[in-house]
Amino acid sequence: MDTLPAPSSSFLGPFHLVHKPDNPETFLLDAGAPSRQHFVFAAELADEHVLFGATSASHHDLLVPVEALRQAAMFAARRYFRVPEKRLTVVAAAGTEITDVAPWRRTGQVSQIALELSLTPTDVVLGVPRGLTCKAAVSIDGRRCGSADARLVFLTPGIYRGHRETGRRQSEESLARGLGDVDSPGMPEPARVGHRDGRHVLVGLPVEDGDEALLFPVNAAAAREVLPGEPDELPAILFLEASRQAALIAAAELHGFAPGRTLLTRWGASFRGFAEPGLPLFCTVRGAGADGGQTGAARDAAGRPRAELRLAFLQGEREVADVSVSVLQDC
Amino acid sequence: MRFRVLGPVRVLPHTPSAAKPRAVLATLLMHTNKVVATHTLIDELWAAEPPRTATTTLQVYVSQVRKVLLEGEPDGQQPLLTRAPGYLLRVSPDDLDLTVFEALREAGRAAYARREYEEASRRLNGALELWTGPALSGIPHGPTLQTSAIRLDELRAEVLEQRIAADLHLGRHLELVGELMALTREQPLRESLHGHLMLALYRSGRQHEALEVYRRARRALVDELGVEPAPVLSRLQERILASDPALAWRPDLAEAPGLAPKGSARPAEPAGPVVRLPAVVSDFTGRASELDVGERFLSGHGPVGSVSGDGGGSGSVGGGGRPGPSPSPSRVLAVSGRPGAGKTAFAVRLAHGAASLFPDARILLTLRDAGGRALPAEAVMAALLRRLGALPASAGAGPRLPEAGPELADLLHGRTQGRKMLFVLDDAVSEAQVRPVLSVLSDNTVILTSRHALGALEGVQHLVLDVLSPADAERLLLECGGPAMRRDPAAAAEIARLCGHLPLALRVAAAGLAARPHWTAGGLVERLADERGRLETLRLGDLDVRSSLLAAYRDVGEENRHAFRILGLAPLPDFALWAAAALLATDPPEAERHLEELVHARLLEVSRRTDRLTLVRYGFHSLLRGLALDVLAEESPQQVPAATERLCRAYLTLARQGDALLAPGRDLLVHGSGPSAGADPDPLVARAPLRWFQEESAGLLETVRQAHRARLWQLCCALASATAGYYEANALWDEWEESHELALDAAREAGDPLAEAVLLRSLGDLAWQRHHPSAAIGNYRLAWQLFTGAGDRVGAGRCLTGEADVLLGQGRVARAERGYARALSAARMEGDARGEADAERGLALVAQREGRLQEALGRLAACESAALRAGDERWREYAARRTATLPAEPDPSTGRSLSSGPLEVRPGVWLFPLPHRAPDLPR
Repeated sequence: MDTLPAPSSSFLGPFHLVHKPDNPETFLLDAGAPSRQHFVFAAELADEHVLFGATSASHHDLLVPVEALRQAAMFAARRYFRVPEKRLTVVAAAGTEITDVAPWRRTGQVSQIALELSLTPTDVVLGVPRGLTCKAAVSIDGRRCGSADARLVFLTPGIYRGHRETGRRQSEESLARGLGDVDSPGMPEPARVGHRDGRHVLVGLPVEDGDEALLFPVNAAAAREVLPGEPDELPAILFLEASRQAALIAAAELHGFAPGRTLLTRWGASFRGFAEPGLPLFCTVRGAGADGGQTGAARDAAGRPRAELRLAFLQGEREVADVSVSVLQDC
Repeated sequence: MRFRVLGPVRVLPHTPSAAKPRAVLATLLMHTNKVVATHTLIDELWAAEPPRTATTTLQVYVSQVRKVLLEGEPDGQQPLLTRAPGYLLRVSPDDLDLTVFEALREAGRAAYARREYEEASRRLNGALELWTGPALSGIPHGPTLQTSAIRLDELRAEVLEQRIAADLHLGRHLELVGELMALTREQPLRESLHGHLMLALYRSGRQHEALEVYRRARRALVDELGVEPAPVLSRLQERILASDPALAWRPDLAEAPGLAPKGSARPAEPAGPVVRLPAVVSDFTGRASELDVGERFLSGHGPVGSVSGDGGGSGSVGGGGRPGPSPSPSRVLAVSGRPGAGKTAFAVRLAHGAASLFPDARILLTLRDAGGRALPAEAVMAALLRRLGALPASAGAGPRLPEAGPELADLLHGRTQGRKMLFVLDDAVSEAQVRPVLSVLSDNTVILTSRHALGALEGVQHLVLDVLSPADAERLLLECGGPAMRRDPAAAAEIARLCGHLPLALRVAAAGLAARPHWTAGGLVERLADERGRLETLRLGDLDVRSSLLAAYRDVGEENRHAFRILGLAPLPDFALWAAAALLATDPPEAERHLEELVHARLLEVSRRTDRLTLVRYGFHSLLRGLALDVLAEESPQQVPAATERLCRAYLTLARQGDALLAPGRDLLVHGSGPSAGADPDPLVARAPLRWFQEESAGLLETVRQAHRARLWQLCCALASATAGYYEANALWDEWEESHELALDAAREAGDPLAEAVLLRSLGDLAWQRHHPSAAIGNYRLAWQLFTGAGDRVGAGRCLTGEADVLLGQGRVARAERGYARALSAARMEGDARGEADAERGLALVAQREGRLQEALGRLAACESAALRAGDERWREYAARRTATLPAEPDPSTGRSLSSGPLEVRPGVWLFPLPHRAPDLPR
């Protein structure tokens, strides 16, 4: 099929993905091989947020490079690495980082975003990889300003189902024991998470945990209304957006950061299991100090306050994702 | 003499009254006939906080200096010239007291070495009489002047000591006592002066006072420094205590303390081990594996095996002439490496650590004279004999130096036979120079250092010192560069890279930063980033990387010096033989001969890799390339334009050859940019054009830049155009953009609308690939106008296809279809098979988009057929691939063949997803 099925309904808008041939057969046949392949992704980066419309955020956020990397990798897996359709793609780890803040500031104009992608197959069996390591350098308007990476695993349907069922059972059992209920005092004002519309707020107000952590309920149902994804899964980028919203509130509470000028400059997630739709999801946020407790905000090279936070997403007592973030107040 | 720096700074007829202009003048006088960078002068004047107006103020000072200088010029020629990146002061040697001093010093030293003490004393005294006070006094000192002043004062002290030594040889001890007493009082820690005073007193019959001098000197050293006097001084005390008759001066037997004959024809044996080694370089860093190899060699556990060079800085070792697994009896280790690699420091380090292995002697001897000329073998042997105490250090009535080589050889052999001695013969020039000496030292261990490999020596172990590894280079900088370096490890890494990991350059950079507390490591990176000013920055006092590298350049013959200069124009990071042949305007065999000779002289590097299309490639160490460009600009700038043009034409020939194979018919400038001779078509390009472009990509871009700088407008356009197909297929956006922006400027400078159109169309392709629709359409339309104006319907038609691609990507299907159709018509009319294939491709996309599958199949067949006629296999495969993957039936839900899935719109370029049909707005 020339026209391959879209990995998911895209919020990226039209974009180009260019395969870079590094040998004669790739040049001639545009064929792949079970070895590292290089691509370039290019799209317009609208000033208005692609999912949330007009927002109060002063920066582009990290959803675009992460989703671009995911889509490009999923497409390349099928088209260039010959991963069979029946195998299900799972994101085992993902991360992104802003290395230069200036190009991420919104200017009121349309910008160009590009990713230089390097995809390396792993665990190759009979010429077909069981996984893919993805790295990307991110540029906006031709200026190198960030990076993204991910590790994908291609599971057989049986193994995939087994993971899902086991995970759901564990969560349900612990929820039945009363673990994982968060009595949130309500929803935050949208501006506290960089939005203007209450429907885009995905986390509730936090409660303090005895362990020097803040507990945020995650409104997965609202997320599924806003974020694209498969019907029976929680969308992967939910974790990025929920991390961002929880981190902004935590940075404001713990360090006094102004939400309108605060952005994630680093996000790294390691996924331990599948988050199940229909089950309560919450996340804990704590400072990333050596003792795991709260630490004061550090400063970056330009003297701006920066906080390091550690997040965990849980359903019941089962951890589904472990996330670390850097939050920067850009002013 | 007009200029004086050996004392208060003065210039005749009038010295500037203000201190800062005098400091400017002094700084320039320390580097006469060389360019002194503006930033060096600014640092000198305002060490900690240069004012915002520093550059302007400096210009005012320079103007004041110029005014003064002009007064003393009978011909009215201004000697202070503006030369980028600073100023150059022309001074004839006789006009500067420092130059005269150095000449007298050299003459005195040479006379002393010849044992002509009367002459030596006279010359050295003449040198000292030039001094009128502390060097460079009366002006504020910045880092350069401070270092220079210290160096000059030290030189003066050295000359003074040598003059005293000469006077002692001449029996002037009575006259010397008073002077030496004053000097030792001024400099109580200078042991050599105490030694001279002890000897003068002893010879004057004042033995008790001589011993008192020793006690006083020892007390000062212990109290101030916590160290005991050096063995030389202690031995002298012992000999005075023993009333050694050899210490007495006799007119018929000149002598030096410690080397005195004992009344026999055969000179005395030294009392203890003879150690003549310079101090180990402080903060010696890295070289762990090479030191291990060297230590194994010295301990006799050879052969030394091998340390493989990894290209990231290391050494390599190999036996010479004695292959095989059996232990080698070789007692010679030849350490070679480029200038500044730290060969001497390495050898000294090894020798210092080998005291227990060589209890009889460890001696270093430099195999060049002060002028850099090779010492003949006889002079080397005589010098070794003198260091061993087998010959007096001076002329006179002592044992006569044998004049014939065989006699010297016999004497040296007799002196070293059966002894555990280590000789470091430093900076050997050739095999011929050292072969006779090595044959004499057959019982001893020798470390030879040389810039050359000395591969013709038999039975020698070779060790090549490369630059340091990046990690060791950074460590050296962090250890020697002071707090500023330690505060910024990232900058240290960059400084290490800019210094090419060369030890000498690293040391100068580190010392320069440590000596200037107001500098930052980041600031030093900025200074070093300018390739042409880098060597100037790597100069601190008498530590000068450029001079070190220049010595290697001057060692080769004029033909190779010419080759070295011209090859500086070769693109980074490396180049093939054909590029060298083009630059040198010669055939490949002749070019190869020069290249290999420059490699042998360590002025050029060579690498061979079997995974490359061009197996052997040549390149410069980054600092040597800077030197090549410097000397090219100084010695033969008139050769630059022609050499650049030859290089550009060679690249153009081969790039066109490769492009015609990758994308036949694509380049519309192929016939319109003048002759492209410069290199013969290369079978390597024909065999693997993609690989050729991959290997030459950096060189091609650099050549486009050079063509632009050299105002070779048409060549610049042609080169960029010939490379565009490769850039497009590989999405090399940065290179594509830079080369085409330069070439577009060149086209406009040349007034060449066709070239401008070609480049704009290519920039349209770039913007399209980057998914920048408005920029793409802008470029395509402008190119279309220019093509149309020039009557080039092929080019104009291709612009229509490009614009239609953009429109299709925006969902403006009907307008896209009209554009493709017009392009197809133009291509057919002009017989442009490539344009036809491209337009049919677009029409197939439209038909597929609209669900007209049969039409799409037909268009793809036509595309494949046209691609076949154009000779473009890649496009033919593309058409076949799309035909094979076209769905058999339209989507029943939409009636169309695709909805939102990715589509390969050009070979290797995927559009995600195809937008929904958008209303076609009027143009």
